[in-house]
Parts: sequence; structure tokens; C-alpha cells
Amino acid sequence: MTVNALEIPDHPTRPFILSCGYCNWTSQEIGVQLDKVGQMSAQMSNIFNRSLRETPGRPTNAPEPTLDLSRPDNPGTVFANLKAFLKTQLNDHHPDNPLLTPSGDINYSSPTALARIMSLYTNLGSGYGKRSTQKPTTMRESSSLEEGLCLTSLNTDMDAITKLRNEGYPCTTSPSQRAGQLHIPCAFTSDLRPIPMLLRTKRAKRCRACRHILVKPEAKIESTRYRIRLLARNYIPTVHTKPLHQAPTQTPLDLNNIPPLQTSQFLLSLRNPLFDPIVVTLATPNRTPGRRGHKVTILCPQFDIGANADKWDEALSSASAIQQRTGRSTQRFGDPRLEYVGQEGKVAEAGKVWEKGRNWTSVVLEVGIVDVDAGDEGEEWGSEDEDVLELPVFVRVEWEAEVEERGKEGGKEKRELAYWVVLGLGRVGKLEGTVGS
Amino acid sequence: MTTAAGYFDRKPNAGVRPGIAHLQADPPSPHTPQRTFSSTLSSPSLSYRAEEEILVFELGARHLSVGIAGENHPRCRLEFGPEDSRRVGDYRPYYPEYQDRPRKRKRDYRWGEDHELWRMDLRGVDLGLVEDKIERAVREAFTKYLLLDSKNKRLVLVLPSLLPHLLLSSVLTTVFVNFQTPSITLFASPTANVVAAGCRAGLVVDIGWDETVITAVYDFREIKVLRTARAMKVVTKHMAELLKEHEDPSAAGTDGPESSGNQEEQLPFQLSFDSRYFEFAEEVTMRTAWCPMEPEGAGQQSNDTSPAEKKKDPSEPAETKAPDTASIPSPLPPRKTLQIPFTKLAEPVEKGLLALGTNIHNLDHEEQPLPQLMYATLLALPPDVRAVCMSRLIITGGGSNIAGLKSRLVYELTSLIEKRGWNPVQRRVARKVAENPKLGKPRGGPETMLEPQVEDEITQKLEKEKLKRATVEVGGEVRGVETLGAWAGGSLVASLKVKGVVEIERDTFLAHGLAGAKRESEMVAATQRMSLGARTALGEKNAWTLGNWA
Repeated sequence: MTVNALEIPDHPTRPFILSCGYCNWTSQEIGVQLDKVGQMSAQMSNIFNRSLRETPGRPTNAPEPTLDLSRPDNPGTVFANLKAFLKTQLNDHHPDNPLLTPSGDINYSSPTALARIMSLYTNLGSGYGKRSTQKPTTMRESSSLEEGLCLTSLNTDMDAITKLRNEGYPCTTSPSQRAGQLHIPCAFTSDLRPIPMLLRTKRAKRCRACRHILVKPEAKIESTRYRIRLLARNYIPTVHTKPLHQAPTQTPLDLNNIPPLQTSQFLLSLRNPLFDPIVVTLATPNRTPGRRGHKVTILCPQFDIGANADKWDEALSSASAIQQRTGRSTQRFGDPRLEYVGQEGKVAEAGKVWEKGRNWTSVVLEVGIVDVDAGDEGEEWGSEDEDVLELPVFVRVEWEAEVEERGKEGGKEKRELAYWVVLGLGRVGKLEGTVGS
Repeated sequence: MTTAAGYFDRKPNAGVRPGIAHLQADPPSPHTPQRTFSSTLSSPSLSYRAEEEILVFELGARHLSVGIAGENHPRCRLEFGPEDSRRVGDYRPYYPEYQDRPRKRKRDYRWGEDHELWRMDLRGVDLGLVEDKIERAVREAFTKYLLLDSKNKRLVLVLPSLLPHLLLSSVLTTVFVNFQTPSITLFASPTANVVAAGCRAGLVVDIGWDETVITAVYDFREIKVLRTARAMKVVTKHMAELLKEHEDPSAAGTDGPESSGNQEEQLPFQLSFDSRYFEFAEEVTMRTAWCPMEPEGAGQQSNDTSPAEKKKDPSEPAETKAPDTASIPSPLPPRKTLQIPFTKLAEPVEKGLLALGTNIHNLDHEEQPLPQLMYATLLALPPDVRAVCMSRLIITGGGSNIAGLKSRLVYELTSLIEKRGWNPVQRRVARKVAENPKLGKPRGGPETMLEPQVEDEITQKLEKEKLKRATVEVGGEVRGVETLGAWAGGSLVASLKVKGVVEIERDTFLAHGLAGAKRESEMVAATQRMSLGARTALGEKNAWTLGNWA
């Protein structure tokens, strides 16, 4: 939609209208004319929410017959009227702080208000300091449209039904259209109004526990950089899993189709991003949560991981045999190569680490997989992710960090970090050879 | 252009909105308001303005409305749905064939559970999940719609007047802990609805999702509450049944209520639906469900005085030439356009809310139809309160948007009162009493009991004085009053700096939780002691109460 100026010769300020280049619709058709090019939403809401009492040509003091009250076209007007009414009622019935202006603010700038403030000190017990002694009357309820009352009218309902009947389904608003329209009744497409664009901001993020700032973007609007940016991956171990096979000849495990009713082994590797060696303790419930509990065992739940020190330090200082092995293994971290039991004399054994490198360690994870499709035929169809194999794991990391005190080398301080992670291993496949589904 | 508009839209209100720092008590002496600069980056005017804003939240079983006090509508209304619980990076709903795949089939009592934030029956509710959902919704509201810092913002929370303490506690904890709110004021939604209708009293009929709550409010106090399970959930179920019947006529023979032979209405507990039907049925319910303004055949029976009667004639020709079927395109796999007779679309509402075609004596206590329940609520009130409440029927909630429902409820209530009067005794005994002249005539409405007094000049003068200030009471007739909704009520009250009964400070709540709340009577006693001059313990100063929710 574009904003165009209307060509009216004798008009002092040329009004603007909205027009659509695609369908040739203009806002003139619904009688909407704008005074300015900008501030579209404010102008629109002014047009729609114009208070009844401001409407020219309407007698303000003519009493409304009570029974003819019906809802005017928009609740904004009702709200404004109701608010004004309640405000006057509150002011009448609660002789409130005399220092407040009618709008409710303390007015220090006006001389009369200042004089009143001063009179509080000079002559206490008279004038504004005195509370009225009469019994406070209750405020009344609104009794006319000007005061925000509107009655349920049969016409509204009748019109709505007739419209629904005549124009049918297409004239009603869809849920997504309604979600954007918060002026409440918008049953029909003719009630829809333009909605303002949502603005965006740059925001800083804080830790919810200690309120430490984690992310803070630069204040300049054009800049996309950050002043502070603390990412979790620089502080907590990276977790990586891959299947561990029983023999080198075995066909690789299809992670989208893990066979049920079998125990599968996986390698769970953790890589340490910190510059201190850490001790990791893993814990997992022995059955995964959910309707089908798969049985989970971590063969070695507690192990050490080396520091994320310079690669060359270790390479130069270590013995050649270890150097050769770790050097090769480091490259292999995250490598999709087939790993199998018995490889280089390694066995998946409880309490033993599978493989260890400079700043990473792998342990073996055993999952006894249950048949997902079994049982309760016709009870419920499985939810769409019923077959996903996910393990919740509680990771606890301990390390000794050096505390730098001012001037001199400080001692070591024990630090601890604990959190839950969810490991997604894959999907459980269907049992082969079952009849029907 | 439009992008800046939302900001400017907000700005003029800032001048009108009163500062909240002054409302808590009368300051002992006038003082310069202190401006606190929360950070060096923001300009002082911004922080000063931000400090004044009171936020209004309305939380229901299926939605959260968030906005700023003093505005006439919330900034956003967030709904809860199963799509919220997708994993990061799960873009399956955007696959073209995704809609066609069968999805989770729910047992009937769990139908629609994914779309609810909570249920009143806490046995199946995961409170941790509820907390997380609330947190996410509130965070989305702040970052996407309000664009405000949640810190230092007082909060007004409009809640249903009956909420399990566990739920209340988790709502409060979530907001206090995650959003650093300094204080929360609780308002009950029926009272907020009454405020938004401009009344002091009324019979609030809140047709919600899970249940319909009928509350009699007098002088902003709830005095009688009745509930029924007949609410939008039941209507949506009936609608799903209707759609299924028309989509697949062969299936109607087995499941349809028509074929079951008896005219008894059955809540469709034997059916279980694919959850895709839920969204479809709900959309159709929202868009096209309607309710005849008076029951079929009522026009012939009552030939006078019924309020709907007067209006019926002008619309008659329009109705006859209108098409008789509504065509509704179905988004579900066969994707055909359903042709449903227009009158059929009224059935779910009539069956679900008004229990049409059912013998009322067969219904359980918790599934009474709405008109009966409204009548029962009014009957339980003292006559003068009843007179005030019956002429302020405030029908609100999601169900109140159904075309024709408000008029129908007013009609049904009027005819019930005409039929029965205000006699708590019904049926045979009532008939016997009426027939027997010795036992006296049944009591009439409250208007018959108030005899006009003999007038003299002084009384007239006093009356005139009174009229200037006091209420012009309309009473004794059945009349519906429109409300702007609970959120708008909360917004009104908050913007008028009215101090709430239940004001919870962050520190005191986090120290003791809900257990720290005092009883309302203790609070009153404490303030009385203070007025007598006796110094009470320091702890009493920030005592708080749960008021209605205790």
C-alpha cells in the first residue's frame, strides 16, 4: 500500500489516502483520510477511537433513554468514556490528595499548586488539610452511553446472524486474522483494521540465576557486533555420540532405524573447552522418560578430561608412543569412521574409559531398546515423535581454577558446574517380520 | 512509516497515566520525585517514563493477554498450542504433505489437552511444564510485543477467582523469579468484568473453555459462584462430531447422535478424535457457530411481551431468501467443501450450552445448562441483590462471541422467571401450592415487594440530592450489559490507581511463598491496631493476604 496525496484544489492541507497498486483499492472507499504521511497507526487509531463526546453535532447534555443503549461501533470509545466516568467518580467520592492535578500528577510548576503546598505548612487544620467529615458515599455506576454503559442489544445479534447466513464462511475471520486484532469483537472481515508493524530492539541478556550480563550488543544501530558475548559452548564440554559396532564387518547402524529389542552400544565423547583439566560425572535415569522406557547404562560414569592446552605443548613433552596415538585420535574426534569393539585391543568394559585424547574422553553407552510399536492397538496413535531415542543426561563438571589475586599468584579454587542435557541418538525402527501395523 | 507508529501511539498516554510512586500512601510531606537512572545508556526521560508503566496480564486456561494499563486493548494475546513444544529445528509442519499425516489420537478426556495451559484437575498436569509455558509466553510478550524491560514494572494479574494454590504459586514464582517484577496485584476476572461493564454489581456469565462460571457480584464482591462443564470445549466437540458426520456420511451411521435412536443428548464420550480435528472444529466453531435467538416454535407459543418477538419480523424476509447451506472448506485430507445446512450449525451450541433435547432431570450437577444455572444463582441471592444482579447480566468469555447467544440466554432466563417466579419449590409441590388458595400465592419478583412510598417534599428533596451522587438503580428486569472483558477491567482499575486487596511483594513472596500470606481478617486487625497508635511489629508492615484466593 502506498500513501498518495489527494488532489483537491481548494483544500488548504491536502489529505492523504492509502492506495493499493495491485487491486486499485483506496482507503477513500471506507472514508479514511490521513493528515500526515507518517505515524500511520496513531492516525488510524485516532480515526477509529474518536471519543463520542468529541464528535461534533452530538448534544452532550441530552439524556439518553436508558433502554436505547447499545454498543457503539468500537470498544475504544466505550473504554475512554468509562475511564473518564470512573475518574470523575473517584475524584468526587474520594477527596484525594489536593496536590494532585486532575490528571493525577503532582504539579509543582503551577504557582497555585505551590501555594497550596505551602499552605499545608502555614495553616494546618484549615483549608486543604482538613478532611471532609461526612460519610463517604459510594460511587455510582455508569448509567448512560457517555458514561461507558452499553446494553446487550437484540439488533447486534440479529445483524450478526443475518450476515453470517447471507455471506457465509468467507466473510468471517480466520484465527490468525483474529490473533492480530485485539479490539475485541472482530467476527467478520469487515471489522478488520490495519495493524501496526512490530518494532524490534537490540537487547542484552542476563543470566537468570546471577544476573550477570551474558550478551550485550553494541548500542550503535547499524552495528551488528557485540560488546559482551559469553557463549555456553566456551564453558561447558561438547558432547558427541556415535554408534559403536560389535565387529568391523557389521553393517553400519542406521540411526534413523535403530533395531528394537536389542542392546546397542554408542560412544559418548566429551571435549573440554576449558584450560584446566576437569572431572566429569554423568548420570542418567536407568529408563528414559516417556511411555516406552529404554534401558540406559553408561559404562563409565566418572572420568577425567585433559585441559584444552596448546596442542604442541603436549606433543612435545609426552612420550613418543602416546604422542603418536593421541595425535591420531585427536583427528578422529567426530570422524564418522566405523568404531568397533576389539579395535586395537579395546573392550567395552564397565568402569573403563574407551579412549582418551588431549582434551577429550570417550566412554561407552549401552541402550536396551524397547519395541515402540508394541501393545495397545487402537488406544492412541503414537505421537509423531514416539520413536525418537533421546536420553536425558545430567553432567557434572568439577575443576580447579586458578584464582588471580591482585599482585601475586593466587591459590586454586574448586569450581563446579552441573546441568542437564538431552542426547538425541536417532529413531527406533519397526520390528521386522511383524504382521500388520 | 508504520514502523514508528507503535511507539508514538504509546507516547501520549504517558502524560495521562499517573505516577505510581505516589499512590501507595499519602506522603507525609511533599517531596521532589526522585529520578533514578537505571543505566547510563538510556536517556533519563525514557527511564522515568518506563518506571510509571503498570503492566496488565490476563491469564486463562488457554491464553495470556498482555498489555499496558490505561490502554483499551491488550498489546498481544498469546495462545498455547502443541506447536510450541517442537524441538529446535523441527520444521516438519512446513512440509507440504505434513497436514495429511495422521497425528496423535487422543482419548476423549484428553482431547484438546495440548492447547491448554492448565486444567483445574491437577492430577494430570505437569506443573513444571506449565511454568515453562508461562515463562516462554511472558518472555515472548516482553521481547516481541511490549519491547520493555520487565524489571521495575508493577504487574496486575487478572486471574480466575478460583485457582488451585499450586497453580497460583507456580504462576507467581515464574513471574517473580524470571522477570524481576517488584510486585504483583491480583484481580479476580469476574470483578474485572463488572468494572469493564461500568457496573458495581452484576451476574457475570463467563463462558470459558473448560467450564462456565456464573458469578453474582455485588458491590465488587463475589457473593455466589456456580459452575458447569457446559462450555466451549463441549461445543467444539459437538462441532467436530457434526463436521465428521458431514465429511463422511457413512460414518454417521455408527457414531452420529441422530442414529442412536433416543432423543437424549449424549456428550460424545464414546468418540475419540484425531487431534487435527480439534483445530478444524475450533475454527469452524469460532467462525460460524451461531445460536437462534429464541427456541424453535417459541414464536407461535408466546404471542406477546417476549423481547425477541418484536425484532423478529423485520428479519424474516432476509432469512427466507438466504442460502440454506453453509459451505465450509475442509483443510483435512480429502479437502472437500462440506455443505452443512445453516440450521445445523446452531446445533452444537444449543446442545452443548443449552442442553437442548435433553431431559434436565437426567443431568448431573456439574452439567446443568446455562439458563438453569443462571436462574439458580439468582435464586440463591437475597431479593434486593437479585433485583440488581438480574438487570445486569454480563456475558463474557470466549463463548460470548457466538452470534445470538447473548440474546438467547436473556430470552431463556426471562421465560424461566416468567414460568417459575422466584419460587425455590418446583414441579408438583409448587403446583399444589398454586392451586390451593389457602396456602397463599407464590412470592413474586422483588419489584412487586417494593411498594411506592407516600411522597412528601422533604423526601423528594433528599431523593434529588441522593440522585446527584448515588446510584440510579435499575432493577427487577432482565437486562444484558456489555463488558469490555476482564483485561480491559484490569487495565481500567490499574490506571485509576486503585489499591488492590491482594498485593504481593517480590521479596516477601520469595522468602515464604504462598505460605507467607496472612488471612484477610488478620490484615484488617493489624491496620486497626496501628490506627490505635500501638506500634506493631515490623513484620506486619509488609504483610500480605491472598484475599479471595486463600
